[in-house]
Amino acid sequence: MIEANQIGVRKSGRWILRKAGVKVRAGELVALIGANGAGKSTLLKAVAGEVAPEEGTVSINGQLLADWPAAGLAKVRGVLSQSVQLPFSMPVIDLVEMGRYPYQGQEPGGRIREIARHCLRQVGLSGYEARDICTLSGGEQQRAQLARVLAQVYRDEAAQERFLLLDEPTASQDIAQKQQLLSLLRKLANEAGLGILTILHDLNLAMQYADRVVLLRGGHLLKSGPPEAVLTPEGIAQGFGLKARVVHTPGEAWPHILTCPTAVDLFQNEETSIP
Amino acid sequence: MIPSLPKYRSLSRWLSAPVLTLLLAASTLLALLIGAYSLPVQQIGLVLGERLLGLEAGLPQTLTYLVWDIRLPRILLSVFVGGGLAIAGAAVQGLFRNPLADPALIGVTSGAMVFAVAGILFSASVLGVLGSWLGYATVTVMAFTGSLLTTFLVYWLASSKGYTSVVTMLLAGVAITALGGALTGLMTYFSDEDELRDITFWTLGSLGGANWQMLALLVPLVLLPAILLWRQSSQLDLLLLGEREAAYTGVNTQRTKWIVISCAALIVGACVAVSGVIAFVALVVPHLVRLIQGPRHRSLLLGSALLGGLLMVWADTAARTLIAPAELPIGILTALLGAPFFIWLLLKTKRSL
Repeated sequence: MIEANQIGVRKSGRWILRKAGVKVRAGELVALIGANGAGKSTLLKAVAGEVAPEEGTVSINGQLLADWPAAGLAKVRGVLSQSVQLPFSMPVIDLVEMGRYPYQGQEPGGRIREIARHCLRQVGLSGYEARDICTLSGGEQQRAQLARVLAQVYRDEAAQERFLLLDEPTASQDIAQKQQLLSLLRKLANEAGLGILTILHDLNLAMQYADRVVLLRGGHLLKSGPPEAVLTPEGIAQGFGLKARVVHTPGEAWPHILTCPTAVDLFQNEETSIP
Repeated sequence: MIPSLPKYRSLSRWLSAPVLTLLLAASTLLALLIGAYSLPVQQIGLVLGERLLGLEAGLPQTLTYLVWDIRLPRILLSVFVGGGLAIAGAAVQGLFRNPLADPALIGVTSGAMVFAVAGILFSASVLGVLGSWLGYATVTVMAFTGSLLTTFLVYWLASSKGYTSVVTMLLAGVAITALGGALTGLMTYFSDEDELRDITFWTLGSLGGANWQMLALLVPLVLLPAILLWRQSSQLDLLLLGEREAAYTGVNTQRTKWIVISCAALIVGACVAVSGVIAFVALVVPHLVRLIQGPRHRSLLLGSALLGGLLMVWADTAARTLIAPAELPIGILTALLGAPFFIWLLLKTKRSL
């Protein structure tokens, strides 16, 4: 389990995160949401170990982040930043194989290639192995990077709980790819038992796929819990300063969030009213 | 993102390590034959047999001297200088994630220059004791010291609280290089005619001073850091994704930065010290190998070292034969050939985008 408690991060004397925390269990998909500047990325970086918080602690599988050896940590948690730029192009398979760095010298080249192919298949990039990365679309490049991170935490038999930390992985995906990507993450959580913490901007995706949602505002933790409990009109109004409706459609398993520029009453099937 | 060129990828077989090694060995032997005095193969074979296998061939001393004491150390020196410059260039380009990076950017060359010029000017006066003790090696020792000091100054300027910023290092390198240029210029301005001539020749680069002692000093200073660099191949691969991603993947980025910078400084410092300034090898060779072999450092570093050595053997052979019995400074030759080639490569890459 990942546990971040009472995290405080200061930049140039100003607190940009205070008393924020998040828990991610194995097999769980947790969405980190909030307006720009709410501290989502900072919290993710603190959990990833890139930013050392002034207050609070982060532990993974019961061990403080600072006590993890670099390679050991890399084996149990992979991080994908929002945009990763390569200065030189290379075949897609090479990029994915680079993810196996923590296992360097511990497995033969053929095995690394096998794992890389498997991870490319998972992100829907089978057949792209020999393609040059610079010939891929932005969305495909992002998925190739995800495959690299998946290769990093890949294990035949998981000895330890493993986690993925993702910063807005759907950013450059089209609407169909967003659904595919989130259902892949859901599947990785359910079947491979990965604990996933991901920043999401699309509240409907969070509603649809997340087990829990963590809502930040102004560097503070506003609400945390199951999507339907957090993504209420009140929650969205507090977190984003935006009027929204949460609409249940008959036959749909989850409600839809509709944001409104005005208070015009366009929708008949609303369940909750705007505060 | 700089693409690799798929149509050249078929060349990768021909630029693979075994092929390059063979070519390098063949070139070394072939270059022995070529010079102001052309020598037949049999005589070269006899000299090598006499020296390496202890055969008694009864050869004239001048011949043995020419082959064994003049040409062979010089050719081997060009192999190590070319290979060293190219592998250091490849590693530094990887670290800076920039195909235009060159070890000169972090101040190695300008530091060597300042100290070498100071060595030329003051070896008799200020550096009296040191100068008389080291003799002709004064300039070499000074250049090596200067390159290391400057690089570590740049590294120190870019570091704070245990973190070294690659971008600051680049900026500090530019500033220190400019400062070095000014100091060199100042000393040049106040030098007399003989000194001026020495300075000019040192700046243009030459492998003419090669001998076995020099080689014995240079080889470990190139080979050991080169091996250390090669062992950082996977780390350098991941640094292509940026420091953050590399750290997330388990790379100790601070350690890799330190190893790459200090090894590159050792190699380039040693090369510049024995040969003066040789332009473009550190820039063009890695670029060429990367286009063909791709950017992964295991093959890139090895390929660059071998190709750099190979090209330098021929460049130096050309330098000492084109206007024989006089010699062209090799620095001029590498820039004269390297720059147009690099431009051609850029145009080629641009078109394939």
